Amino acid sequence: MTTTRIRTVKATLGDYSSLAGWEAGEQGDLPTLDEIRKAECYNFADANDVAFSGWETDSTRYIWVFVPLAERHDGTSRDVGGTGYQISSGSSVGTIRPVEDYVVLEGLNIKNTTIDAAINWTSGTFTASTNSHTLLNCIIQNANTASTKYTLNASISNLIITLENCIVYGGTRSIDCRNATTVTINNCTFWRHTDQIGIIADTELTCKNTYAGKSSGTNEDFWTGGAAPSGNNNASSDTSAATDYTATQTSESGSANFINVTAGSENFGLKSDATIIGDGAAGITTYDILGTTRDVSAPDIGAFEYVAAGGGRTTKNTDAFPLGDRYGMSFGFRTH
Amino acid sequence: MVELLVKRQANYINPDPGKHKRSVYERGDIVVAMPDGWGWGKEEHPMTSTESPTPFFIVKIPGVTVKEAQKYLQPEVDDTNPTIVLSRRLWRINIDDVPSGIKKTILDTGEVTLEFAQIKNFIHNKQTGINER
Repeated sequence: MTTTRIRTVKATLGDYSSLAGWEAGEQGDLPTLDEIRKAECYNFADANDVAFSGWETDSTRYIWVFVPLAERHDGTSRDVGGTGYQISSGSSVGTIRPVEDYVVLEGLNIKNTTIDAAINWTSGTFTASTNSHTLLNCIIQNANTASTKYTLNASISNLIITLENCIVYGGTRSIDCRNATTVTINNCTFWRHTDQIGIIADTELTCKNTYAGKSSGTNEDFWTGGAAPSGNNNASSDTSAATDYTATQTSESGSANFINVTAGSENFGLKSDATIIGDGAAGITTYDILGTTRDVSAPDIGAFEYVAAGGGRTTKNTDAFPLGDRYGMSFGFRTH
Repeated sequence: MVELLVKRQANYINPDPGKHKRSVYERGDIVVAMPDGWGWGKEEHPMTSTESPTPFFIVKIPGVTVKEAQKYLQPEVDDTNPTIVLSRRLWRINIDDVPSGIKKTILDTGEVTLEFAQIKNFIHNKQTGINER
Protein backbone atom coordinates (compact mmCIF):
# COMPACT_ATOMS: atom_id res chain seq x y z
CA MET A 1 0.00 0.00 0.00
CA THR A 2 1.32 3.43 -0.89
CA THR A 3 2.53 5.43 2.08
CA THR A 4 3.14 9.16 2.38
CA ARG A 5 6.54 10.08 3.75
CA ILE A 6 6.36 13.56 5.25
CA ARG A 7 9.41 15.64 6.07
CA THR A 8 9.22 19.21 7.35
CA VAL A 9 10.99 22.21 5.86
CA LYS A 10 11.43 24.87 8.55
CA ALA A 11 13.68 27.79 9.36
CA THR A 12 14.71 26.02 12.57
CA LEU A 13 14.23 22.58 14.10
CA GLY A 14 12.74 20.97 11.02
CA ASP A 15 13.87 17.96 9.05
CA TYR A 16 15.25 20.27 6.36
CA SER A 17 16.05 23.97 6.33
CA SER A 18 15.32 24.56 2.64
CA LEU A 19 13.19 22.97 -0.05
CA ALA A 20 16.39 22.48 -2.07
CA GLY A 21 17.80 20.43 0.79
CA TRP A 22 14.59 18.41 0.96
CA GLU A 23 14.73 17.74 -2.76
CA ALA A 24 18.33 16.54 -2.55
CA GLY A 25 17.70 14.43 0.53
CA GLU A 26 14.43 12.86 -0.58
CA GLN A 27 15.17 12.30 -4.27
CA GLY A 28 14.14 8.76 -5.14
CA ASP A 29 12.29 6.21 -7.24
CA LEU A 30 8.84 6.66 -5.73
CA PRO A 31 7.01 3.88 -7.59
CA THR A 32 9.64 1.38 -6.42
CA LEU A 33 9.49 2.78 -2.89
CA ASP A 34 5.70 2.87 -3.18
CA GLU A 35 5.71 6.31 -1.59
CA ILE A 36 4.38 9.78 -2.00
CA ARG A 37 7.07 12.13 -0.73
CA LYS A 38 5.66 15.25 0.86
CA ALA A 39 7.54 18.37 1.89
CA GLU A 40 5.59 20.13 4.62
CA CYS A 41 6.83 23.70 4.48
CA TYR A 42 6.45 26.13 7.37
CA ASN A 43 6.23 29.89 7.70
CA PHE A 44 9.60 31.31 6.61
CA ALA A 45 11.47 32.82 3.65
CA ASP A 46 13.45 30.17 1.75
CA ALA A 47 16.03 31.79 -0.53
CA ASN A 48 17.10 28.78 -2.59
CA ASP A 49 15.72 27.89 -6.00
CA VAL A 50 14.93 24.24 -6.62
CA ALA A 51 14.55 21.78 -9.48
CA PHE A 52 12.46 18.66 -8.97
CA SER A 53 14.70 16.46 -11.05
CA GLY A 54 16.18 12.99 -10.81
CA TRP A 55 13.09 11.32 -9.37
CA GLU A 56 10.81 8.61 -10.66
CA THR A 57 7.12 9.35 -10.15
CA ASP A 58 3.74 8.12 -11.30
CA SER A 59 0.12 9.10 -10.78
CA THR A 60 -0.08 7.52 -7.32
CA ARG A 61 3.51 8.06 -6.11
CA TYR A 62 4.48 11.67 -6.61
CA ILE A 63 6.25 14.79 -5.31
CA TRP A 64 4.01 16.90 -3.09
CA VAL A 65 5.06 20.26 -1.67
CA PHE A 66 2.51 21.48 0.81
CA VAL A 67 2.12 24.37 3.23
CA PRO A 68 -0.27 23.71 6.15
CA LEU A 69 -3.01 26.31 6.53
CA ALA A 70 -1.58 27.72 9.75
CA GLU A 71 1.81 28.25 8.05
CA ARG A 72 0.47 29.56 4.77
CA HIS A 73 0.21 33.01 3.18
CA ASP A 74 -2.79 35.12 4.15
CA GLY A 75 -3.88 35.55 0.54
CA THR A 76 -1.12 38.05 -0.11
CA SER A 77 2.58 37.62 -0.80
CA ARG A 78 4.89 37.26 2.19
CA ASP A 79 6.31 40.59 0.99
CA VAL A 80 2.95 42.21 1.75
CA GLY A 81 1.38 40.14 4.51
CA GLY A 82 4.62 39.16 6.25
CA THR A 83 3.57 35.57 6.69
CA GLY A 84 3.63 32.23 4.95
CA TYR A 85 6.19 30.01 3.29
CA GLN A 86 7.87 31.89 0.45
CA ILE A 87 10.47 30.42 -1.86
CA SER A 88 12.32 33.19 -3.61
CA SER A 89 15.34 33.49 -5.87
CA GLY A 90 16.77 35.47 -8.74
CA SER A 91 17.44 32.34 -10.78
CA SER A 92 17.51 33.03 -14.50
CA VAL A 93 16.10 29.56 -15.14
CA GLY A 94 13.22 29.81 -12.68
CA THR A 95 12.75 29.63 -8.92
CA ILE A 96 10.95 26.28 -9.15
CA ARG A 97 11.63 23.92 -12.02
CA PRO A 98 9.34 20.88 -12.01
CA VAL A 99 11.08 18.47 -14.34
CA GLU A 100 9.45 15.19 -13.28
CA ASP A 101 6.07 13.91 -14.42
CA TYR A 102 3.97 14.19 -11.25
CA VAL A 103 4.27 17.19 -8.96
CA VAL A 104 1.78 18.97 -6.67
CA LEU A 105 2.46 22.42 -5.22
CA GLU A 106 -0.05 23.60 -2.64
CA GLY A 107 -0.18 26.81 -0.61
CA LEU A 108 3.23 28.22 -1.55
CA ASN A 109 4.30 31.76 -2.29
CA ILE A 110 6.74 31.39 -5.19
CA LYS A 111 8.75 34.40 -6.26
CA ASN A 112 11.43 35.33 -8.73
CA THR A 113 13.11 38.59 -7.74
CA THR A 114 13.92 39.37 -11.38
CA ILE A 115 11.96 39.31 -14.64
CA ASP A 116 12.60 35.58 -14.96
CA ALA A 117 10.08 32.84 -14.28
CA ALA A 118 8.82 31.95 -10.83
CA ILE A 119 8.00 28.50 -12.21
CA ASN A 120 9.62 27.18 -15.36
CA TRP A 121 8.67 23.82 -16.81
CA THR A 122 10.61 24.20 -20.04
CA SER A 123 13.72 22.30 -18.98
CA GLY A 124 11.61 19.17 -18.47
CA THR A 125 10.88 16.24 -20.75
CA PHE A 126 7.39 15.05 -19.95
CA THR A 127 5.87 11.70 -20.79
CA ALA A 128 2.97 11.99 -23.22
CA SER A 129 -0.44 11.60 -21.55
CA THR A 130 1.05 10.46 -18.24
CA ASN A 131 2.10 13.54 -16.34
CA SER A 132 0.29 15.95 -14.06
CA HIS A 133 1.40 19.21 -12.48
CA THR A 134 -1.03 20.72 -10.04
CA LEU A 135 -0.79 24.15 -8.43
CA LEU A 136 -3.33 24.89 -5.73
CA ASN A 137 -3.78 28.04 -3.67
CA CYS A 138 -0.38 29.46 -4.59
CA ILE A 139 0.77 33.07 -4.93
CA ILE A 140 3.24 33.34 -7.79
CA GLN A 141 5.13 36.51 -8.60
CA ASN A 142 8.14 38.08 -10.24
CA ALA A 143 9.63 41.56 -10.38
CA ASN A 144 7.57 44.61 -11.22
CA THR A 145 9.65 45.29 -14.31
CA ALA A 146 8.33 45.21 -17.85
CA SER A 147 9.53 42.28 -19.92
CA THR A 148 8.23 39.85 -22.49
CA LYS A 149 9.41 36.97 -20.32
CA TYR A 150 6.85 34.94 -18.33
CA THR A 151 5.97 34.55 -14.67
CA LEU A 152 4.91 31.00 -15.55
CA ASN A 153 6.77 29.43 -18.45
CA ALA A 154 4.82 26.33 -19.39
CA SER A 155 5.28 26.13 -23.14
CA ILE A 156 6.73 22.63 -23.43
CA SER A 157 5.41 19.57 -25.22
CA ASN A 158 3.28 16.93 -23.44
CA LEU A 159 2.91 19.03 -20.29
CA ILE A 160 -0.38 18.70 -18.41
CA ILE A 161 -0.99 21.33 -15.73
CA THR A 162 -3.83 22.50 -13.54
CA LEU A 163 -3.90 25.85 -11.75
CA GLU A 164 -6.62 26.40 -9.21
CA ASN A 165 -7.15 29.34 -6.88
CA CYS A 166 -3.76 30.79 -7.73
CA ILE A 167 -2.70 34.44 -7.94
CA VAL A 168 -0.07 35.29 -10.54
CA TYR A 169 1.41 38.78 -10.82
CA GLY A 170 4.46 40.79 -11.76
CA GLY A 171 5.83 42.96 -14.52
CA THR A 172 6.17 40.35 -17.23
CA ARG A 173 3.74 38.36 -19.32
CA SER A 174 1.77 36.04 -17.04
CA ILE A 175 1.91 32.61 -18.66
CA ASP A 176 2.78 30.94 -21.94
CA CYS A 177 1.48 27.41 -22.32
CA ARG A 178 1.13 27.12 -26.09
CA ASN A 179 3.18 23.95 -26.55
CA ALA A 180 1.67 22.16 -23.57
CA THR A 181 -0.91 19.41 -24.12
CA THR A 182 -3.58 20.21 -21.55
CA VAL A 183 -3.81 23.26 -19.34
CA THR A 184 -6.69 23.85 -16.93
CA ILE A 185 -6.99 27.19 -15.17
CA ASN A 186 -9.85 27.58 -12.71
CA ASN A 187 -10.57 30.51 -10.42
CA CYS A 188 -7.21 32.20 -10.77
CA THR A 189 -6.28 35.88 -10.73
CA PHE A 190 -3.62 37.19 -13.12
CA TRP A 191 -2.31 40.73 -12.85
CA ARG A 192 0.43 42.66 -14.64
CA HIS A 193 1.82 45.89 -13.31
CA THR A 194 3.08 46.76 -16.78
CA ASP A 195 1.65 46.73 -20.28
CA GLN A 196 2.42 43.13 -21.20
CA ILE A 197 0.30 40.30 -22.57
CA GLY A 198 -1.37 38.16 -19.91
CA ILE A 199 -2.40 34.59 -20.73
CA ILE A 200 -0.88 33.26 -23.93
CA ALA A 201 -2.50 30.01 -24.95
CA ASP A 202 -3.95 28.05 -27.82
CA THR A 203 -6.38 25.14 -27.79
CA GLU A 204 -4.61 23.35 -24.94
CA LEU A 205 -6.18 25.75 -22.44
CA THR A 206 -9.53 25.46 -20.73
CA CYS A 207 -10.01 28.49 -18.54
CA LYS A 208 -12.93 29.17 -16.22
CA ASN A 209 -13.86 31.70 -13.54
CA THR A 210 -10.52 33.44 -14.05
CA TYR A 211 -9.61 37.11 -14.03
CA ALA A 212 -6.77 38.60 -16.10
CA GLY A 213 -5.97 42.27 -15.93
CA LYS A 214 -3.28 44.92 -16.01
CA SER A 215 -2.69 48.40 -14.65
CA SER A 216 -2.87 50.12 -18.03
CA GLY A 217 -1.96 49.73 -21.68
CA THR A 218 -3.10 47.92 -24.78
CA ASN A 219 -1.56 44.44 -24.63
CA GLU A 220 -4.26 41.80 -24.30
CA ASP A 221 -5.17 40.18 -20.98
CA PHE A 222 -6.21 37.01 -22.82
CA TRP A 223 -4.11 36.80 -25.96
CA THR A 224 -6.30 36.26 -29.01
CA GLY A 225 -3.59 35.77 -31.60
CA GLY A 226 -3.60 31.97 -31.77
CA ALA A 227 -5.97 29.04 -32.04
CA ALA A 228 -8.82 29.63 -29.64
CA PRO A 229 -8.75 28.15 -26.15
CA SER A 230 -12.02 27.18 -24.50
CA GLY A 231 -13.76 28.11 -21.28
CA ASN A 232 -16.27 30.44 -19.77
CA ASN A 233 -17.07 32.97 -17.06
CA ASN A 234 -13.73 34.74 -17.27
CA ALA A 235 -13.13 38.46 -16.81
CA SER A 236 -10.59 40.90 -18.16
CA SER A 237 -9.62 44.51 -17.66
CA ASP A 238 -9.84 44.96 -21.42
CA THR A 239 -12.28 43.32 -23.84
CA SER A 240 -10.16 40.28 -24.69
CA ALA A 241 -12.05 37.83 -22.45
CA ALA A 242 -14.98 38.03 -24.83
CA THR A 243 -13.10 36.78 -27.88
CA ASP A 244 -12.56 33.12 -26.98
CA TYR A 245 -14.79 32.54 -23.99
CA THR A 246 -18.49 32.58 -23.24
CA ALA A 247 -20.35 34.31 -20.42
CA THR A 248 -17.49 36.73 -19.88
CA GLN A 249 -17.09 40.05 -18.11
CA THR A 250 -15.02 42.71 -19.85
CA SER A 251 -13.57 46.09 -18.91
CA GLU A 252 -13.35 44.98 -15.30
CA SER A 253 -10.63 47.18 -13.86
CA GLY A 254 -8.38 45.88 -11.12
CA SER A 255 -8.83 48.93 -8.92
CA ALA A 256 -12.62 48.56 -9.03
CA ASN A 257 -12.58 44.90 -8.07
CA PHE A 258 -9.58 44.23 -5.86
CA ILE A 259 -8.56 45.60 -2.49
CA ASN A 260 -5.16 46.81 -3.69
CA VAL A 261 -3.42 46.50 -7.05
CA THR A 262 -0.53 48.83 -6.21
CA ALA A 263 2.87 47.24 -6.76
CA GLY A 264 4.30 46.21 -3.43
CA SER A 265 0.93 46.27 -1.67
CA GLU A 266 -0.98 43.74 -3.76
CA ASN A 267 -4.14 42.30 -2.25
CA PHE A 268 -6.42 40.56 -4.71
CA GLY A 269 -9.20 40.03 -2.22
CA LEU A 270 -12.48 41.30 -3.61
CA LYS A 271 -13.92 44.66 -2.65
CA SER A 272 -17.45 44.57 -1.28
CA ASP A 273 -18.71 46.23 -4.45
CA ALA A 274 -16.57 44.24 -6.86
CA THR A 275 -18.51 43.59 -10.02
CA ILE A 276 -17.02 40.13 -10.57
CA ILE A 277 -18.67 38.84 -7.39
CA GLY A 278 -21.15 36.14 -8.27
CA ASP A 279 -20.13 36.04 -11.93
CA GLY A 280 -18.42 32.65 -11.90
CA ALA A 281 -19.83 29.39 -13.19
CA ALA A 282 -21.06 26.93 -10.57
CA GLY A 283 -19.24 23.70 -9.78
CA ILE A 284 -15.74 24.68 -10.88
CA THR A 285 -14.02 24.92 -7.49
CA THR A 286 -15.40 24.17 -4.04
CA TYR A 287 -13.09 26.41 -1.99
CA ASP A 288 -11.13 29.60 -2.57
CA ILE A 289 -7.42 30.32 -2.02
CA LEU A 290 -7.92 30.65 1.75
CA GLY A 291 -10.23 27.67 2.06
CA THR A 292 -13.46 29.64 2.11
CA THR A 293 -16.39 27.63 0.79
CA ARG A 294 -17.50 29.06 -2.52
CA ASP A 295 -21.08 30.03 -3.22
CA VAL A 296 -22.62 26.93 -4.72
CA SER A 297 -24.80 28.59 -7.34
CA ALA A 298 -22.99 31.87 -8.07
CA PRO A 299 -19.30 31.76 -7.08
CA ASP A 300 -16.98 34.68 -7.66
CA ILE A 301 -14.40 35.07 -10.41
CA GLY A 302 -10.76 34.89 -9.37
CA ALA A 303 -8.85 33.28 -6.51
CA PHE A 304 -10.96 34.76 -3.71
CA GLU A 305 -14.57 34.23 -2.71
CA TYR A 306 -15.90 37.42 -1.19
CA VAL A 307 -16.77 37.24 2.48
CA ALA A 308 -18.87 40.06 3.91
CA ALA A 309 -17.55 41.80 7.02
CA GLY A 310 -18.35 39.66 10.02
CA GLY A 311 -19.40 36.84 7.78
CA GLY A 312 -16.55 34.63 8.79
CA ARG A 313 -14.93 31.99 6.65
CA THR A 314 -15.67 28.32 6.42
CA THR A 315 -12.31 26.71 5.99
CA LYS A 316 -11.49 23.24 4.92
CA ASN A 317 -9.06 20.78 6.41
CA THR A 318 -6.62 20.60 3.54
CA ASP A 319 -5.16 17.32 4.79
CA ALA A 320 -8.44 15.77 3.72
CA PHE A 321 -8.47 17.60 0.42
CA PRO A 322 -9.45 14.98 -2.15
CA LEU A 323 -6.62 15.58 -4.57
CA GLY A 324 -6.79 12.05 -5.86
CA ASP A 325 -10.39 12.28 -6.86
CA ARG A 326 -9.89 15.53 -8.66
CA TYR A 327 -6.56 15.20 -10.39
CA GLY A 328 -6.16 11.50 -10.98
CA MET A 329 -3.59 11.26 -8.20
CA SER A 330 -4.22 9.32 -5.04
CA PHE A 331 -3.40 9.67 -1.36
CA GLY A 332 -1.71 7.09 0.81
CA PHE A 333 -1.12 6.85 4.53
CA ARG A 334 1.44 9.09 6.18
CA THR A 335 4.57 7.86 7.83
CA HIS A 336 7.16 9.75 9.75
CA MET B 1 31.79 32.21 6.65
CA VAL B 2 29.78 29.95 4.42
CA GLU B 3 28.40 26.56 5.33
CA LEU B 4 27.98 24.08 2.49
CA LEU B 5 25.53 21.18 2.47
CA VAL B 6 27.34 18.44 0.58
CA LYS B 7 25.86 15.20 -0.69
CA ARG B 8 27.49 12.16 0.85
CA GLN B 9 26.30 9.77 -1.84
CA ALA B 10 23.54 9.41 -4.42
CA ASN B 11 20.20 8.42 -2.92
CA TYR B 12 19.70 5.72 -5.52
CA ILE B 13 20.69 4.61 -8.97
CA ASN B 14 18.16 5.69 -11.54
CA PRO B 15 17.48 2.87 -14.04
CA ASP B 16 18.12 5.29 -16.89
CA PRO B 17 21.89 6.00 -16.85
CA GLY B 18 21.44 9.18 -18.87
CA LYS B 19 18.84 10.51 -16.48
CA HIS B 20 20.93 9.46 -13.51
CA LYS B 21 23.95 11.41 -14.71
CA ARG B 22 21.82 14.40 -15.63
CA SER B 23 19.68 14.76 -12.57
CA VAL B 24 20.56 12.65 -9.53
CA TYR B 25 22.77 14.31 -6.91
CA GLU B 26 26.10 12.50 -6.63
CA ARG B 27 28.74 12.14 -3.93
CA GLY B 28 30.43 15.47 -3.31
CA ASP B 29 27.79 17.66 -5.01
CA ILE B 30 27.19 20.90 -3.11
CA VAL B 31 23.44 21.34 -2.61
CA VAL B 32 23.07 24.70 -0.86
CA ALA B 33 25.30 27.41 0.60
CA MET B 34 24.15 29.05 3.82
CA PRO B 35 25.56 31.71 6.16
CA ASP B 36 27.59 31.06 9.27
CA GLY B 37 25.65 29.51 12.12
CA TRP B 38 22.90 28.15 9.89
CA GLY B 39 20.34 26.01 11.67
CA TRP B 40 20.54 22.85 9.65
CA GLY B 41 17.58 20.51 9.63
CA LYS B 42 17.61 17.18 11.39
CA GLU B 43 18.03 15.22 8.17
CA GLU B 44 20.71 17.57 6.89
CA HIS B 45 23.17 17.06 9.71
CA PRO B 46 24.70 13.59 10.00
CA MET B 47 24.62 13.71 13.79
CA THR B 48 20.84 14.05 13.87
CA SER B 49 19.75 12.35 10.65
CA THR B 50 17.53 9.30 10.93
CA GLU B 51 18.73 8.02 7.58
CA SER B 52 21.36 5.38 7.18
CA PRO B 53 23.66 6.12 5.55
CA THR B 54 23.22 9.82 6.23
CA PRO B 55 22.65 11.83 3.06
CA PHE B 56 24.89 14.86 3.69
CA PHE B 57 27.84 16.36 5.49
CA ILE B 58 28.64 20.00 6.13
CA VAL B 59 31.74 21.97 5.19
CA LYS B 60 32.31 25.33 6.86
CA ILE B 61 34.72 27.71 5.16
CA PRO B 62 35.73 30.92 6.97
CA GLY B 63 36.55 33.80 4.66
CA VAL B 64 34.21 32.71 1.87
CA THR B 65 30.83 34.40 1.57
CA VAL B 66 27.54 32.80 0.60
CA LYS B 67 27.58 34.92 -2.55
CA GLU B 68 31.04 33.69 -3.49
CA ALA B 69 29.98 30.10 -2.89
CA GLN B 70 26.96 30.40 -5.20
CA LYS B 71 29.21 29.44 -8.11
CA TYR B 72 29.44 25.92 -6.70
CA LEU B 73 25.67 25.53 -7.01
CA GLN B 74 25.61 25.93 -10.78
CA PRO B 75 24.59 22.91 -12.83
CA GLU B 76 26.96 21.40 -15.34
CA VAL B 77 25.60 22.48 -18.72
CA ASP B 78 26.46 21.82 -22.33
CA ASP B 79 29.08 24.27 -23.59
CA THR B 80 27.32 24.74 -26.90
CA ASN B 81 23.77 24.85 -25.52
CA PRO B 82 23.55 26.04 -21.90
CA THR B 83 19.89 24.99 -21.65
CA ILE B 84 21.02 21.35 -21.71
CA VAL B 85 21.87 20.21 -18.18
CA LEU B 86 24.56 17.52 -18.02
CA SER B 87 24.56 17.06 -14.25
CA ARG B 88 23.11 18.68 -11.14
CA ARG B 89 26.33 20.43 -10.21
CA LEU B 90 29.38 21.60 -12.14
CA TRP B 91 31.55 21.41 -9.03
CA ARG B 92 31.97 18.68 -6.48
CA ILE B 93 34.10 18.14 -3.42
CA ASN B 94 36.30 15.11 -3.94
CA ILE B 95 35.66 13.63 -0.54
CA ASP B 96 37.72 10.54 -1.17
CA ASP B 97 40.82 12.58 -1.92
CA VAL B 98 40.86 14.77 1.18
CA PRO B 99 43.55 14.06 3.79
CA SER B 100 42.64 11.25 6.14
CA GLY B 101 42.45 13.54 9.17
CA ILE B 102 39.83 15.72 7.52
CA LYS B 103 37.93 12.70 6.30
CA LYS B 104 37.92 11.28 9.81
CA THR B 105 36.53 14.55 11.20
CA ILE B 106 33.76 14.44 8.62
CA LEU B 107 32.93 10.84 9.43
CA ASP B 108 33.11 11.39 13.19
CA THR B 109 31.23 14.67 13.47
CA GLY B 110 29.40 15.14 10.18
CA GLU B 111 31.00 18.51 9.64
CA VAL B 112 34.37 20.09 9.16
CA THR B 113 35.70 23.65 9.28
CA LEU B 114 38.45 24.34 6.76
CA GLU B 115 40.24 27.37 5.42
CA PHE B 116 39.65 27.84 1.72
CA ALA B 117 43.32 27.05 1.10
CA GLN B 118 42.80 23.65 2.73
CA ILE B 119 39.76 22.65 0.70
CA LYS B 120 40.22 24.35 -2.67
CA ASN B 121 42.41 21.61 -4.09
CA PHE B 122 39.54 19.16 -3.54
CA ILE B 123 36.81 21.30 -5.13
CA HIS B 124 36.70 19.83 -8.59
CA ASN B 125 35.28 21.22 -11.82
CA LYS B 126 33.66 18.25 -13.58
CA GLN B 127 33.81 19.87 -16.99
CA THR B 128 37.41 21.05 -17.04
CA GLY B 129 38.73 18.35 -14.74
CA ILE B 130 40.65 21.07 -12.89
CA ASN B 131 40.45 21.72 -9.17
CA GLU B 132 39.61 25.12 -7.73
CA ARG B 133 42.56 27.52 -7.49
